[in-house]
Amino acid sequence: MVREKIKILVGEDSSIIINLTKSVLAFENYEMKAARNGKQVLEMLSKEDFDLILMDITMPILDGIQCTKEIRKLVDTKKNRIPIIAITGNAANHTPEDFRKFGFNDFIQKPLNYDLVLATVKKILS
Amino acid sequence: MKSKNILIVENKQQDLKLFEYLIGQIHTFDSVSTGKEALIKLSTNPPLLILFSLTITDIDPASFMERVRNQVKDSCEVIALVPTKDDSNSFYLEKLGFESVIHKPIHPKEFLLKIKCLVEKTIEKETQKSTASKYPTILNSASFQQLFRLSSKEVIHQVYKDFEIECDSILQQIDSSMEKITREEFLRSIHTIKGNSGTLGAEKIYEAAKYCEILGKDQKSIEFSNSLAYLKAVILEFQEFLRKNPTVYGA
Repeated sequence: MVREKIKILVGEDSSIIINLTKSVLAFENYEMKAARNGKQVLEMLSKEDFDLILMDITMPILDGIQCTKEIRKLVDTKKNRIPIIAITGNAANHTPEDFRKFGFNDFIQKPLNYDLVLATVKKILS
Repeated sequence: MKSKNILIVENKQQDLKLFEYLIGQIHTFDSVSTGKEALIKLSTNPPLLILFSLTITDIDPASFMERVRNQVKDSCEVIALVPTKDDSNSFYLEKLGFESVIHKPIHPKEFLLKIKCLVEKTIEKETQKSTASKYPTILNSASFQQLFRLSSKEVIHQVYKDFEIECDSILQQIDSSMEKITREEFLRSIHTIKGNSGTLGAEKIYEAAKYCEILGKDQKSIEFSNSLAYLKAVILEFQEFLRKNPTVYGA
């Protein structure tokens, strides 16, 4: 039986990070879609199911923290419990406890180390 | 090539099956049942972590560790799988260079938790090593190699091309003294180039952008202006580096 691919949504406004992440995740057999801002993340999540979200904190229109808070408030219990990993370029601005309070399951710092990104994704999905 | 695996070295078939099942839930792995096979794997596909069972008979733990250190230096940690609950050998095993000791029979949850922690610790150690050079480099080769290991070379070449276009764009913004965009937009561009440069291993640009971002947010106009001049200089230096090293582009 062929197992369905795990679907990951990436909220990130940098096309460089999107292309790189998509390629790295594809190498590990994950399927990835991208949203350029928090509003797009919410729109895509309303239309489609994902197994995990990688969410950049700093995005235009609706940032990653606000977007995560909105997701946790959704009525759909499958969607509001989706694991979300924060991606932050300014980790010093927040403590791990802050990230948990915002609703994130874990966080990764930029510059991205893709070995760590993959290990964190695997850890959360397990 | 994919991310580094966990290598399981276990000659007891029942234990091997259990370790494969558990580790397969959290990470990719290779498994072998002799020390000789393990050493071959080390040279063909260096692992992130090795689980070495002390019931392996074709090589003793001390010789195995010596061969591991000769082949992969300290780029991977080795865990001893001890067949008894007896703790008396732990000190000796640590002296041999084993990072940790796991006693059989294992408790699956604790086992997985320990492996997860060790994987994260090893990756962090690797990262610290690759960024431990005293001065930032134009292009960190460890970061560049990592991207090549985890992605296709076509994508990597394209990403560096895109990054150069992004560099051109920020140079224009610096030269036009931000006339066409707001300060907030300009700082957002600097933040983006900071994240991208760091991820791509362009360390000098990353450090310069980080400094610009701090000064820009602090509204220190003169210092900010000076830091932009430095950012411009390191971007030009990076672009010159790419011209001299066209393989980054795939040429």
